[in-house]
Amino acid sequence: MTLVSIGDQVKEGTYPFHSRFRRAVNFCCDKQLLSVVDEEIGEGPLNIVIRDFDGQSPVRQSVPLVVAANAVVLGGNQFEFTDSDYYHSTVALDDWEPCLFDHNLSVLEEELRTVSSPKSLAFLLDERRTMNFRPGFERAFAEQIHCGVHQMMNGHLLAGVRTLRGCGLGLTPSGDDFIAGLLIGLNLLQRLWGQNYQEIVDEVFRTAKTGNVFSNSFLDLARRGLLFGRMKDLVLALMSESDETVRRSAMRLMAIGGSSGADLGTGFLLTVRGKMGVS
Amino acid sequence: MNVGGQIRKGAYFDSVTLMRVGAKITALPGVIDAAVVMGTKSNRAILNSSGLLAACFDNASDTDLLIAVKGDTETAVQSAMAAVDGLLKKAVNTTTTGGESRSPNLAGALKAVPGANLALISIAGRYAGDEAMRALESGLHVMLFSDNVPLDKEIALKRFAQRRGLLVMGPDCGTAIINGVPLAFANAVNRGDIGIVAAAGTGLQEVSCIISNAGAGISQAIGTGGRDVKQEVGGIMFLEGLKALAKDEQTRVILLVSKPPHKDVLHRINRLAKTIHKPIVTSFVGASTQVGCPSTLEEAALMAVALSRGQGRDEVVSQLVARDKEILRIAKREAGKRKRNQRYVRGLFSGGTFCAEAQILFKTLLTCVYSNAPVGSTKQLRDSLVSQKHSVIDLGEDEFTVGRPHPMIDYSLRNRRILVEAADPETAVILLDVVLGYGAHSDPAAELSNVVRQASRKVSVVCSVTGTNQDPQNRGRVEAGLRKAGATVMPSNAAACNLAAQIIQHLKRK
Repeated sequence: MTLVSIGDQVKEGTYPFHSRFRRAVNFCCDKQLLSVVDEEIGEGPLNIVIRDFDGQSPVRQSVPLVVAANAVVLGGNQFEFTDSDYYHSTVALDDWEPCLFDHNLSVLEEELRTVSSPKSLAFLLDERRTMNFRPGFERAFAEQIHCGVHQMMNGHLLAGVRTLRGCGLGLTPSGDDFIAGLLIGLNLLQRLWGQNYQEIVDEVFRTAKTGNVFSNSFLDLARRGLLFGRMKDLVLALMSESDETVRRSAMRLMAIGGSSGADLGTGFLLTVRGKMGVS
Repeated sequence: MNVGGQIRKGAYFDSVTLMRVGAKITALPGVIDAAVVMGTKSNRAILNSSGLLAACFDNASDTDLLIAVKGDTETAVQSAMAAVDGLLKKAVNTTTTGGESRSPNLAGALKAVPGANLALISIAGRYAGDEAMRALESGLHVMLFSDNVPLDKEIALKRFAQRRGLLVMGPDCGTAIINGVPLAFANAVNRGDIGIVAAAGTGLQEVSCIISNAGAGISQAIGTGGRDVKQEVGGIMFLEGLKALAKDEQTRVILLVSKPPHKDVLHRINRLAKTIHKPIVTSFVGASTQVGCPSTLEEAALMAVALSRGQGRDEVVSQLVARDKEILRIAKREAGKRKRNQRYVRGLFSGGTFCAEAQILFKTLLTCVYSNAPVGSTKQLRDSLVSQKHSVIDLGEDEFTVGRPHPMIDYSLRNRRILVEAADPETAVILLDVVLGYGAHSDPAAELSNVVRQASRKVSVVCSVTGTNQDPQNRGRVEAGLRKAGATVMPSNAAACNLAAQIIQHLKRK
């Protein structure tokens, strides 16, 4: 096993074990969540990426993670790193073309509408996809999402955030993923057009916070415009790359979680398209 | 109405796992609805609005896992609750372990399975071609499940494979059986001496199941993807498949299945067939049939069985004549239950080949047939969501599958349509195909029973079941479930179509 990269927001300290998934082990200290992940999940501001990370690996055991100045210690394994191993989660927007960006957003929309998980929030882009939700709880879930997004689109952004926060089944509820997309979108818009949305961004974050440490952690990163690898790739592709590159980046984003990547992508797309009452 | 709830602390699952478990709990006997969700305030509000909020959820926190079940009786709720742990464990195992090896790319997969000689590729079409080429370059045969692979890419892949002596099954190849191993949407059939080449996925499933149910078996079943027999591709893999079966020692009879190939391709197939010294049966659904050639998939499959046993066509003809008499008897009975204004068939198909075969069979038996995927003289429906006169709908067409699973997996869309058609006072017969096998819905009878029960109070519901008793769903059990719900179950799509048309003929005479 070797260390591939370490996120630029990972701080020194001892992090007790929190939870374990197939491709990730999470550690949490003072509401700060760190994840040791495999290359498939990849880079992130708070990710430590380990090559050949597998089910038998000692890093999957429930022991604390120690992050020192130039090494990570876990389960008896020490992974040293240097400055060149840092993943930088900010995006440089030196070169972008508004027309190409607009076209690429259409490519992203097409991918979300046609390829994303049936249960993702892409039904907000294509009404026909609501058929994928079973009557009963699933349909009520979709209606709640619809209601929250409708509130946002009609000038009641924070009311919409309150409706969406924590809405969804899994570890990172779909509503929170959507809000993270909204925050990333707002961050991008203010950088592209020189507007100042910081107050709105902070207010959305404060409103969206719940008792879910996972959601709070990635919402905080989104608020600060710090992106994980797949989202960063997509943003860069939207700025100046070909349809093909945008499609590939969108596919990689949509492969995150059951529907998380697509939910985040939907929130992001609607925001940068100016549909969320902030333009 | 009874609602039960449980809270689990420190249990984390991704949303797909939870949705899958929720659906499985809902399918349990006596359960009306269920949800497994994190305990956020929003989720509790949704549970409340869908009648699933249990009193014990009041003190749940955002990171608690809530399990809610609504059932007919307290016993049903308690039984469902007892099953939750097992379902959660199974769902996690399904996605994480189960002995499978997951590699992020082809190189990793080859490392994990060094002796592999076939790659099954199922990724978004626009990327699938490149991945297939990498597999061919690594010396692997390819089954390309993905659709939307560009035509020029398909041709390039097939020409490359042909030069290397490899097969490319697909793109859009949903079914194959290689050396007894069912791939993708295939059925558990007997092994035997009948080899199949098919450019029609459900067609392949239908003939392989009929063969197996008749006591014979399959040596190899090679899918090519429907586009292979078009002029542009030129039948490259259909011909290669035929050559492979000609050489295969296990294969004694060859069965070719397709929608009508382009005339140039047909000419090449015929020319090659003349050089092969094994009996060959063809079923080109919708092509003009010569005297003595099978006119349905069922007849072709039974012909292959007869040849495999050293029998002639007469055996098959007498078998089908006897069956047709039985169909007339059932048609008379069903027509007797209908009113005079009930006069139309509404076919709701999950298999494209079945939809096409229905249109071909109706051509001589019914007038004014409409479809969203018309074949021959059938007219195009104005709106695929609204039936006109006799309508046969292919629910596997892109217009119905955008962002949702194929109708062989997800029955919800068809179930709703069944009820809509049953409510139409002019509908006399609802015609359905039920396809079993790997990849298809795990319990179709349970999924269909309720709507079939409701529909059969007003119309005749006629089904065919494509599958075997060895399939995970068990054909006999599925047929029994459908019959119990009120459907008339026929042994093949052709027989079901014939029955539907005969009911209409009887109603006309009323």
